[in-house]
Amino acid sequence: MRRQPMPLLELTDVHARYGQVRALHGVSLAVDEGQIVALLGANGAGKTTTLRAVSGTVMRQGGVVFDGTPLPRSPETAARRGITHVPEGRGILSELTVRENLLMGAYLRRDRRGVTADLKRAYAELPWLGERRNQQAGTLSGGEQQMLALERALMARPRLLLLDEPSLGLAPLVVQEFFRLVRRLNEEQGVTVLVVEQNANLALDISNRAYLLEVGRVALEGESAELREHEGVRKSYLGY
Amino acid sequence: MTQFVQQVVVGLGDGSIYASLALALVLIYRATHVINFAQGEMGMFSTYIAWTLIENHGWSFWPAFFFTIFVSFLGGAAIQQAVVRPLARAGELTIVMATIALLVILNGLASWIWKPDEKVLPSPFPTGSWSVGDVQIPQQSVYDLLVVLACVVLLWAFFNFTKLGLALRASAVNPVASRLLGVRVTWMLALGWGVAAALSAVAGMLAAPAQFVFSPSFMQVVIIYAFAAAVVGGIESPAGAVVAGLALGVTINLLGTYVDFVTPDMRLPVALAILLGVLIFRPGGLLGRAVVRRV
Repeated sequence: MRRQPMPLLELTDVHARYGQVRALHGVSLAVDEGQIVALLGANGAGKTTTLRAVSGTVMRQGGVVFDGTPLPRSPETAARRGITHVPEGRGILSELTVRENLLMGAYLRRDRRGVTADLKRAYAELPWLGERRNQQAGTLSGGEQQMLALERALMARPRLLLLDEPSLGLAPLVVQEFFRLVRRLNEEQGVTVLVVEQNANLALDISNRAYLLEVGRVALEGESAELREHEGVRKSYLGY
Repeated sequence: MTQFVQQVVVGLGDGSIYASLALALVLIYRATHVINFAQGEMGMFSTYIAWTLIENHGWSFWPAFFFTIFVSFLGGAAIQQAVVRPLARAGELTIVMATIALLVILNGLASWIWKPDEKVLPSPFPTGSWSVGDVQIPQQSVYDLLVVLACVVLLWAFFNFTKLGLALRASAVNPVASRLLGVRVTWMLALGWGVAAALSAVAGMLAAPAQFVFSPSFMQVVIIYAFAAAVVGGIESPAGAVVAGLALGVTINLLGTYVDFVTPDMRLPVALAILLGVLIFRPGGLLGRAVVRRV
C-alpha cells in the first residue's frame, strides 16, 4: 500500500507574538516536497512572522513539523535540519567579501570539495559574482545583494528555502531574473520553496500553491491557478 | 643617533605590550560592542597564575607561559558565558559597568590570594644587549616584539584562513543572519572573549618581567596605554591597534629621552594628550575604517 505523502513542512495552529503583540492567531499550512508555495497578504497580515515561526526567530506556540519530526524553536537547529531562511533585508554580512558570504552559506557542510564545486557553479551562474568575489558585500546594489543572498542560501544545499519578500525595492528586470533562478533551482535541484511576496501577480505566477493571510490567519488557500480566478483575490490583490 | 636607535627599539618592545592588549580590546569591541575595562586585570590575573606555576610548582617559563594562555582562554570564555551573556539584553552600558566591576573584583581577588606585595616574574629572555657598532640593542625588547608579532600573525591567519575565524567575524558583523546560517553565535562570542583573554595574558606575562617587579595593580598603567592605542588605531581595526600600540611605545620613549619635561611621571599624561590630539583631527582613529553600506 502506498504511504500517504507527508508534507515536508507542516504548521498546525501556530501562534506567534512579539512581546505582548500577537502576530499570528493560529496559522495552519503545509508545504509538499518539491513545490513552490507562496504566502500572500497585505502588510501586517503575518507573512514574515510565519517564516520566522518556521526558522525559530520569533516566540511561537503550536505545531511545526519538518520532514516528519517536530522542529524546535532555534534558528541554528532549523539550519542544521536543512532550512535556509533569507530574511527581510537579505541578511547580507556587509563587511565580509562576496566570496566570504558564499562560504558562510556553506558553514554547516563538511564536504570541502562539494563546497568548492558549488562556489564555481555560483560564479558560472552569475559571472559578476566571480569578478567581484573580493569586494565588500555591503557595497553591492540592492539587486546584487538579493542575488548574492539567494546564491548564498544555495551554498547550504537546503531542502527548504524560505524567501522573505525578495522583490522588495528591486527593479522589475532584476525581480524577473531572481524568480527565473528560483524556478530553475526548484525544477533542476528539487529545492522546496516557501516565499513571501506582496506582489500577488508575481507570486501566483511562480508558485504551485498559495496561502492568503489576513490578520494572522489563513483566509484562503489553494492551487495558484485557482486562486488567480478567485474573485476576491482578483479584486483585492490582483487589481482587476 | 645611537641613542635614537636604542630608544626606538626599547619603544617597540614597550609598544608591543600595549599593542597586544589593545588588540584584545579591539577583538572584544568587535564581538560585543563594549570596551572591556577589565582587560588589563584579566592579564594581571593570568600573570599571577604563571607566577604561581613557576614559583610554587617549579615549572619553567615556557610551559607555564603556554599553560597560562590556555587557562586564560578558558577563563575569558567563561566570563563571557557567565557574566556578559546574561546581560546581553540589558544593553551595552550595563555590560560596560559589569566589566568595571570585574576590574575591581579581579584586583581584589589577586590581592587576597597572592597578597599585595611585589613579586618577580623571571624573564624568559636574556637581559643583556647586542652591540651593533656603537648601538646597544636590548634583547628583551626585541624578543617581546617578536612574541607579539607572532601572536598577531597567528591571529590574522586564524581570522582570514579558517572557517572558525570566518564564522567569528560573521557573528560580529551580523549575529542574526549568522544564526540563520547555522552558526552558534553565543559560542563564537565566548571564543572571541577567550582569544582576547589569551592575548591579555601574553601582555601581562611580557609586561611583568619588563617592569622587574609586579603587584596586583601593575597592568593599570598598561591598560590606559592600550586604551589609547585601541582608540587611536580606530577601535574596530586590529591592524590599527597594533600599529598605534607600537607607535605609542616609540613616541613615548623618544619624548622621554629628548624632551626635558617628559619625565617618567609625565609619560602617561603626554600619551593621553596625544590621544586627544589625534582624535580631534581624525575622530575615527588613524586606521578607522569607513564602512560603506547600501540599503
